[in-house]
Amino acid sequence: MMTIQKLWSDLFVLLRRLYVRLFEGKKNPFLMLTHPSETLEDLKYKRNGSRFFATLLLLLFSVSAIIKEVATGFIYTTLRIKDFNILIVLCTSGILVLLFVVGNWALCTLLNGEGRATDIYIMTCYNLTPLIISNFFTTIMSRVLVEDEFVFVNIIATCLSIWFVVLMFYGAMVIHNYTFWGTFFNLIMSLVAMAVIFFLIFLFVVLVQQIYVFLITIYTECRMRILG
Amino acid sequence: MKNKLIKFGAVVMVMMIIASMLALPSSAYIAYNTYNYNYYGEAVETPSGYTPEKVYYGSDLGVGILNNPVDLYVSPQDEVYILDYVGNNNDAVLHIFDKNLKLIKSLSTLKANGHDYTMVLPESLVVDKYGYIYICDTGNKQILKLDKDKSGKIVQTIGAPNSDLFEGDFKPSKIAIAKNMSLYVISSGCLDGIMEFNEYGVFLRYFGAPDVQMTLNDLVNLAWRRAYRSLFGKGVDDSFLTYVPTEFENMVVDDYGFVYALMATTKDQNTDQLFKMNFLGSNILDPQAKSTKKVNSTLSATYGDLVRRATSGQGNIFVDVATDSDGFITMLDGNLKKIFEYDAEGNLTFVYGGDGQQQGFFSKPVAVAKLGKKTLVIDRYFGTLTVFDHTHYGEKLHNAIVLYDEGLYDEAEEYWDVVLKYNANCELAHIGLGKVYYQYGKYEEAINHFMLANDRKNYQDAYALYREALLSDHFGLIMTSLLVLIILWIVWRIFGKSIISAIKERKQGGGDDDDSEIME
Repeated sequence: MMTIQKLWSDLFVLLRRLYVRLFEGKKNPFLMLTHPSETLEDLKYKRNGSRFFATLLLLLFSVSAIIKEVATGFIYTTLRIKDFNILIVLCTSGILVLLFVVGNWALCTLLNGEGRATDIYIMTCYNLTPLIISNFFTTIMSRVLVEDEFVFVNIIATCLSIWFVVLMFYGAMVIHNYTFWGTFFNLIMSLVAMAVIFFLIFLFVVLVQQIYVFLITIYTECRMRILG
Repeated sequence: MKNKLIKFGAVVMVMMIIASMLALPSSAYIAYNTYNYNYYGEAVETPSGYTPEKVYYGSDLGVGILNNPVDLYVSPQDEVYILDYVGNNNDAVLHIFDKNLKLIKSLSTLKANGHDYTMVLPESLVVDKYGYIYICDTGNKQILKLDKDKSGKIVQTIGAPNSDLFEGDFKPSKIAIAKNMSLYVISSGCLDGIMEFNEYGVFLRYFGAPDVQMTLNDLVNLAWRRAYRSLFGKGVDDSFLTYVPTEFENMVVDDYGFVYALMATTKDQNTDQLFKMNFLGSNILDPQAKSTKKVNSTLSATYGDLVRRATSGQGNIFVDVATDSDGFITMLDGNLKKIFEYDAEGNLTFVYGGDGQQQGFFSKPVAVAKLGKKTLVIDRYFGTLTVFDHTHYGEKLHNAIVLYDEGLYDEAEEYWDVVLKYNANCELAHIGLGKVYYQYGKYEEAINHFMLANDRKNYQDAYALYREALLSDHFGLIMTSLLVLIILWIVWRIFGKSIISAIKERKQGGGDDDDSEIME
């Protein structure tokens, strides 16, 4: 009995701290939406970003993408649950973001970017908030509205996506201290870097498979020779 | 105790044996599985809609042996005509049967102005509403019109048309006739479309030639030739390839004058295989608009087996088409030896037949015709005439579709119910029942059925009304809770800060610190 009470009180304290940290502390990730400039300066010069909240937002983004895939209303999806593949959804949401972070960092260290890997990670994840809102919003609305009314939802979702792009652009500009066109070039090249990384991973997997098959063949051969 | 058990076991055994003996003959066994395609383009097993009633050999029909039958036609008077080649010279014989397949007459020699006339490899025939027989005498390059008393007297011949439009050779291979006595002729080697003759045998026009379908390969080829010509001033083998419309394979005309034409397509061509043409010759069947539309965009075919095949020559090659009075379209596949039946809208209803030698299978099926509700197919290899009849399920589904197409949704309901008992996957039945419930105002049932049928368009209509009804039913509750929320919010705005400060005061002294960094 006592332990359950303790558990509840612990949970309450944890939630309260989280709430305070989120909305009243200096590391509020949602300030990025309304005051990107201040938040980015804080992040860059005062190191006032929270990796914890960044990771939380990244997870939330992945979860929202999964929920959107699974729970979208009947009218807007033809996906059956037996065709659902969580890996593909993760690869187009959470893992894609991580890939961008790695690609951007790898590129910017070469091209005189000032940003640290932590900064890029936190900035990117904070910026995901509009997409999370958009995912949840469209998922809920798709279960309520029919196609004629869905135009408004699409407009809102498009606005949120544009907001995300603007935030990313501005974030990369501040974090790396680039010019406008420099940022543009940087982001485009980041996409190229992502493609290259993907290609290398793909190549690596294929090669490892080849080696595995090669070793297995040698093993089988030896066993056949020795054991007859 | 033991004795009792043994007795009980024996009784059960005997009962099971009796039950199995009773059960065996009552179920008509069909050797093949029939299937239909679901919304995702996957083949799903269904009960069969047709069952082979009887296979007639030549001796069963009273004509000795069907040597090499090429065409089959059921006249408006419900007489069955079979065109056969006999002997080493392939002499053409026309067998005429009544609707119970009793032989009326066999015509082997025809009379033209008192002389004997021999046909040379005729390929098809039709009979008009008065009983005149029209035969495509392909080898003699003319169409024969025989007298209606079935004496074999030629009353008229229609040769190559005397028109500026016509050029090349006249080799009539397929013929069809409309109720207004227009003759439609497919001349092999003629790429301008279907030829239309009026009732006096005067050539009127070509119509229905489809658009030329260019594959990517063709386009690349064309671009390369153009480039070559512009560079070097003359073409590379200019006369080697021309891009012309594909020929029609076969056709039939229904009671309303629509021409159903078949086209044989190769693997990489993405054209429709079936054209339902109006008077202007444009295709009025829209595969994109039918109610059981498929979602899978990788399926290229809209008729026949919806499977991408790796090699050419493996897919559907339709050889004959037939319609009945209810608008069902029966297409015979000469390559896979199957029969595909579509309703008037183009939804697949049944697939039956197959490659084999058992009853209900074919080796080289060449022609199909509808005799009332029955389907007749002739097999050139075996020299047989197979008669298919409806199963109970097929009959119910047909009745339901006919009523549904007429807009009599209420009357169709009982048939749809029976169909669903046989086959819970039947999308057409779910759409039909959904519409019934929609009309009754039972929107919840309607959206369930539309969901099962994957019919998103009708689902939306039903859903909008369902939502409206739900909202108006619970309007009081929704408004009350909204009001309560608004009041709560106002209270919070006014008294919230004082409440928080009161809580903080009470906790002062032993309170936890808010700025601890446990989650760094």
